[in-house]
Amino acid sequence: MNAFSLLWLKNIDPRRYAIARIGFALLLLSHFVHLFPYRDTILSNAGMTHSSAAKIGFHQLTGGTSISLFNYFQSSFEVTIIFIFAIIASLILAWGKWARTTLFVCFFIQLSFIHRAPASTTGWDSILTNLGFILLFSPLGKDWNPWNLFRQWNKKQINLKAPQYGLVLIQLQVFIIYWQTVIQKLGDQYWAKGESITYFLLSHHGRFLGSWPVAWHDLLDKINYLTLIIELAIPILLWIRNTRRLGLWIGIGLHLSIAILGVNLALFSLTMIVSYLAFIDPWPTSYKLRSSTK
Amino acid sequence: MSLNRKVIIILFSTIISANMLLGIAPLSTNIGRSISKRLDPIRWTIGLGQKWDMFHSIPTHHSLRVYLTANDASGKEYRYGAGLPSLREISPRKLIRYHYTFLRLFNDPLNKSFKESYIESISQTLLKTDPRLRQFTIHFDHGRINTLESIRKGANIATTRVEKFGPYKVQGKMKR
Repeated sequence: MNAFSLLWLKNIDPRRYAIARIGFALLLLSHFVHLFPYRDTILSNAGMTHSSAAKIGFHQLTGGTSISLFNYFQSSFEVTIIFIFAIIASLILAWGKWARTTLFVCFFIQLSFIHRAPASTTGWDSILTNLGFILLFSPLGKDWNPWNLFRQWNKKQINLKAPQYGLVLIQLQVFIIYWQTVIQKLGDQYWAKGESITYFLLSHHGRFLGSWPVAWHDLLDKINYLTLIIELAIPILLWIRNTRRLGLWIGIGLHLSIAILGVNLALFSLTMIVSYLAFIDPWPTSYKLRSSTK
Repeated sequence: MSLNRKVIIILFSTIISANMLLGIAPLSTNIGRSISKRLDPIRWTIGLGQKWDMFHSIPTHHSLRVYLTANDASGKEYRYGAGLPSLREISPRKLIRYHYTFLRLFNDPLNKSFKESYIESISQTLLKTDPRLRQFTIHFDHGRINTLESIRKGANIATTRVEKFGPYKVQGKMKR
């Protein structure tokens, strides 16, 4: 088998998919709970916009076709029922029961939200649909619910195997997210002048009000450039086994800082941290075993 | 694993990873715009959009307050919140999606149909709330962050700019 095929087809321990599925399901649960207070205002016809206008608006913004559930279920009551359904589906997905079906339900409700209210979306909405789409066509480690996984955590070898393509695609997506955002930041005057963190902390996103970031600007200027270096480095550090632990610490540190210093950004941080689960390998195949299977 | 399944996995992975890799070209470049124009309709329809511009443009808003004023036939003014369905006050700082929503609706012409639909919904809700109302205005109070230099010299963190949209007629069905 050539290297390209092996990149996608190499067998790994399916418990890795179970970790990714459980983490993603809990992330979806948090996300749907976060969206719950907005549901009436941005998704029902009693709210800000009518679904017929949203269909046209989605097409004007993206060129795509709106296939939202909320084009058909338009009342406040129906939107609420769909959200309750999404919350229940994400809990069942975490448990691993009917994993593919519940993941499809969660993915389609999230996609429907983006199609119905694209003007109300944030960066992490797209991350959720991208990761959801990949997982929808990947092994889900559904033989492991959280309890089984906990009990069999220390078991060295599992007879079942799963191809690694789903996790590799998520790793690649993490890479693209960080690198594209850095490329875009390099063209921005605030990032180029070292002022971005200071402005961020003074903005509506800043948790601690006041003009204190201006007094700390000399330090924040250095953190500005350090952030760009860190964002370039995180996917590389995560990819290389020997530096993975360092990558995890730096990445989690970066996103916890964003969640602590910024308001309303905890879900973004959680989304990025959950995406790191695709890199974690608590059960690496030993060199001996790999050699014997060749 | 059967050969067919292997082929499907490799094809699927190749297509999805190609879509991601094509997404790395920034939209500010010609190649980025060209790729985006061709792929975005499919990408956004199936949920594979590749637009990762989080914080590339730094927020320059310190605060945002949105509210409505409506007048009856005698010219008397009434104040309402901008949140539908119940015209409640909303706090874009507490619920960040309202911040994005209002800024995109009123500052980005691409969101024109959402803006028109919002104005129509407000109009209909005001009519139901009080049939005596004749017209309304949407008020935006933006707190724009001043330059770091001027803050250092003692200026306030932000300067509030008041923007008004309207007046629009209060009516059951809007004329477009």
